Amino acid sequence: MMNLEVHNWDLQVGDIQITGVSSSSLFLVGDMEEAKLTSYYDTPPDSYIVGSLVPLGGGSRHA
Amino acid sequence: MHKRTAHVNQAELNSISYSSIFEVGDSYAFEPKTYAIAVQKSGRPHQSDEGFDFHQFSLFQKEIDTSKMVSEPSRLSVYQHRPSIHVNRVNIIGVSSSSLVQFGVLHHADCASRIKHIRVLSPQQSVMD
Repeated sequence: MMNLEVHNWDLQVGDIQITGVSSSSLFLVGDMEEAKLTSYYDTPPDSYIVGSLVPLGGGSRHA
Repeated sequence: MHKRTAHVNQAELNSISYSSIFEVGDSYAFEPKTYAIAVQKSGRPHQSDEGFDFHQFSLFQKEIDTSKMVSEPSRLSVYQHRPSIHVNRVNIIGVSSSSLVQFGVLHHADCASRIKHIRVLSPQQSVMD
């Protein structure tokens, strides 16, 4: 049984500097009800192909 | 829930690309999906650089059941004591790949991204590892 009570008082922000907002991301100045965020990410060393010039079937490892 | 007004004095966005949105105002839903395969390969461009397809990789097929992961509070009460939010300046270099920058009210967001990086190594490179 979770009971959440939120009180929003003053919100005054000076300057915001952001390098990047990317890949289904969100930067919001304002209120929102609900955010559901999912991310699948796969990168080496878990994912690489060795040796073959053909993308499929020739690699000695293919994750 | 009462929603506040957003005040932004100055905004500077250098670049918006690949189905991204910059919105001033309110909106109801934001439900983007990003699917990306990034292949890095040594040497010159070659015919084998093509042929990478989303359906070849399980990352783009598998579905994880998120319904059990969502835990909402059984009682949520939000009290807005001030009618507005103030931000003086916003400076963003890049907004990319189905992303959103918004000043205003958003009801809900359901965002998904699937990104796969692949390195194609030559046999010599794999020996060095």
